[in-house]
Amino acid sequence: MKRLIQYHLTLLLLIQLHMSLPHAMAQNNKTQLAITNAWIRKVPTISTHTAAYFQIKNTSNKNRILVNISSPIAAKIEIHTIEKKNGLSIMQHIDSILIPSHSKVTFKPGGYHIMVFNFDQQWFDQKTVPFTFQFDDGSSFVEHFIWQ
Amino acid sequence: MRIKQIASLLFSLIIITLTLFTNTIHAKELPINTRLGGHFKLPGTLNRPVALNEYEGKVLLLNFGYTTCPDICPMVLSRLSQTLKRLKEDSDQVQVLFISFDHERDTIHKLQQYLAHFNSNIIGFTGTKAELKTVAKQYGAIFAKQQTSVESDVLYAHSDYIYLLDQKNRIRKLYASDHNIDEIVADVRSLLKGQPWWKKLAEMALAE
Repeated sequence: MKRLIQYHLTLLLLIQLHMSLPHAMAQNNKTQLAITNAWIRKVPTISTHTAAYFQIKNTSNKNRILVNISSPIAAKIEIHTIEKKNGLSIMQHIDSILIPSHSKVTFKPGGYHIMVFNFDQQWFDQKTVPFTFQFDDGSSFVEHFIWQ
Repeated sequence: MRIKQIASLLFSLIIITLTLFTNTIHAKELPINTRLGGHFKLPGTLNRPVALNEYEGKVLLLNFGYTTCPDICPMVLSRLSQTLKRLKEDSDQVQVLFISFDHERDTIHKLQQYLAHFNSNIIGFTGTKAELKTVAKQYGAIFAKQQTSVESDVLYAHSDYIYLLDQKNRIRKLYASDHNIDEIVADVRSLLKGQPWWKKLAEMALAE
């Protein structure tokens, strides 16, 4: 009888552990990748495009690769950088960006930025805009950007 | 007669001393860029053609860009707006000018709406392709369409300098788009202070 109770208790513990694992991993992804200063430019109402900025810090021992950013504010969203060449500022679309272990990457005006094409202006009425960050390992999380 | 000669000699000595002094401190002043700049007259957001020399007597901050620009142009215009705020009452003597090279999409009406978001006093310009090409060449501004599959998504690769022009419409300094605002404010103030009386006198005497 004692053995049977021990067996069931162990089984229960394993089931609970299994159920909580994906959630724990997601939390881990988020906590080891901290986003700060997330803002989206409040452009004039006649503007069709805007840009969003943030800082991402990777506190894990693993390099992470950001492969996509999406948001309900626009169908077309790309990661861009500005390349300075012969006095020209050239906007470049980049497919992914490495967030090295124990390092941070800053998206700021005139540098890396989230390029938001033909955005839905109804979002001007919202305090924040959600952006989903996707990584090469399949993990993702949502961060809210404030209009600024 | 002798008194006149002595007075003339004294005056010449004063002028020479002042000129030498002028040249010594000239190095500290913002040099005049003789290679770039020049007059232009383009359709402006005042709903009429606006000429650069209408702003003689004011210190000017000039930038080239386009309203669909998502990153650099809003950043520059925000920074110029901040510069005006920092100048407080001195901003009355300063004019910000914005020339759009996107003649296909940027109408005067669009420019008016766009610029008002940053500061209601900014004057915008546009023009024909040929007009804009001429002005851009004068100022060494470069712009080129970047390839895209969707026409409305067209972005430009472009130079993003901020030009500081003095009260005689001469270029005195070029700044990068993210240049320190404190320095821009200080440079504008130095131009607003103008020349001391003795320097003006020395220049007038030399001109004669």
